[in-house]
Amino acid sequence: MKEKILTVLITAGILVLTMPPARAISEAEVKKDIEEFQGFFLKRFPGLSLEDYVDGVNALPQYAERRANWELLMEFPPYETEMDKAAEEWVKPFANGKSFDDCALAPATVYPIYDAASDGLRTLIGDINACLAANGKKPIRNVKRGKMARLVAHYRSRFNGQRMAVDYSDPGARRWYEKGRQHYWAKRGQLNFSCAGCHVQNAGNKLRGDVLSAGLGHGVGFPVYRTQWAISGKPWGTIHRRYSGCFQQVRAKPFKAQSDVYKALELYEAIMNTGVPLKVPSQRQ
Amino acid sequence: MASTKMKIKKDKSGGHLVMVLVKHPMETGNRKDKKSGKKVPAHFVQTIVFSHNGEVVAQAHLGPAVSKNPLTQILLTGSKSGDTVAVHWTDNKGQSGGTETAVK
Repeated sequence: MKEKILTVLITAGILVLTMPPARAISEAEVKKDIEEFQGFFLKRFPGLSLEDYVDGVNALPQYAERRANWELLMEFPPYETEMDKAAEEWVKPFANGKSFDDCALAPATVYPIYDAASDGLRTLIGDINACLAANGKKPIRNVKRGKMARLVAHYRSRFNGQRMAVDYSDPGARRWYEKGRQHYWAKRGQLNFSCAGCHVQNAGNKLRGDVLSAGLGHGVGFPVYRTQWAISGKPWGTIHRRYSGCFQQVRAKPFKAQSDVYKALELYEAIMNTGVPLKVPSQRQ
Repeated sequence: MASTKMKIKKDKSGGHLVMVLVKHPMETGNRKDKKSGKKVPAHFVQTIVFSHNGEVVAQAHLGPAVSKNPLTQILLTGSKSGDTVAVHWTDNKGQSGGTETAVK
């Protein structure tokens, strides 16, 4: 009897010591990350306030020569007709009479949201598709371009001017944040670049004929209407479309849109942009 | 299909900057349609006429070298609040369009 108890106690003891605890970094560490990240850019570009970063690369002093062109283009924003179309698509009722306004969507400033029940991340796109499924409609398959990007642009634009405020109080959220942080700073691809290598270390510097944007401001303007993509007839892109593009540009195999890696990256960037106001959609080259 | 948008801004020189966007395909006549393989016929804006209070002040003669959705801009002098600025364009197929705005 005594032996049995001892065996059980020892086994339990070994299990407790060898099983990795489901720990997460502290809220204080995330807060420190945000301060360091934002502080780095505010110091690097002293003339810019936090709000200026919503314009992305157009706000950087190194882009000054091209900014005049962008401002002229923005006199008549190229996405206007598309946004009108998006507004119509959003209010169009489903077969059961409901529309997207009846979906239980959170404010755009708090996505991605940690879902404790599934230990996963909820993105706006995931929630829109979940709403379609709940109303007896097929979810949208193409989550990088076209209709989905338009719908997301319309919804997010309702929160323009409001500041990013993703919640990371749950340790599960911080575990996802850590994954995203690791991906952001890890080198990848044949060219062996990390996101940070270009968008932190070399923000404002030239990459061939283009100026690299700052990591601060990434995502607050998405979905983006790109001239480069407009040429091939698919101007709209969600942030996961751009992630795929960036991966391909460093010759790394891209992940699928709405995959865990991209969601984690999206969470990391959203948290790094805490306090930056939304400006949706954005127009970039 | 084609539409005209106009914006008038106060310029620091004292006059007004008039910006006009004509939404137009501006086909050169040399582009081949990807599906049919045939050349898309030429369809481009030929003239844009600007009028200030009914008087023609500027004319732009465009051709197939100008790309899609041309944006033209003129600097109007001697303009004041309440004046009307009108723009009218015609293309090689005889279609036309235009718009009119008052200076604020």
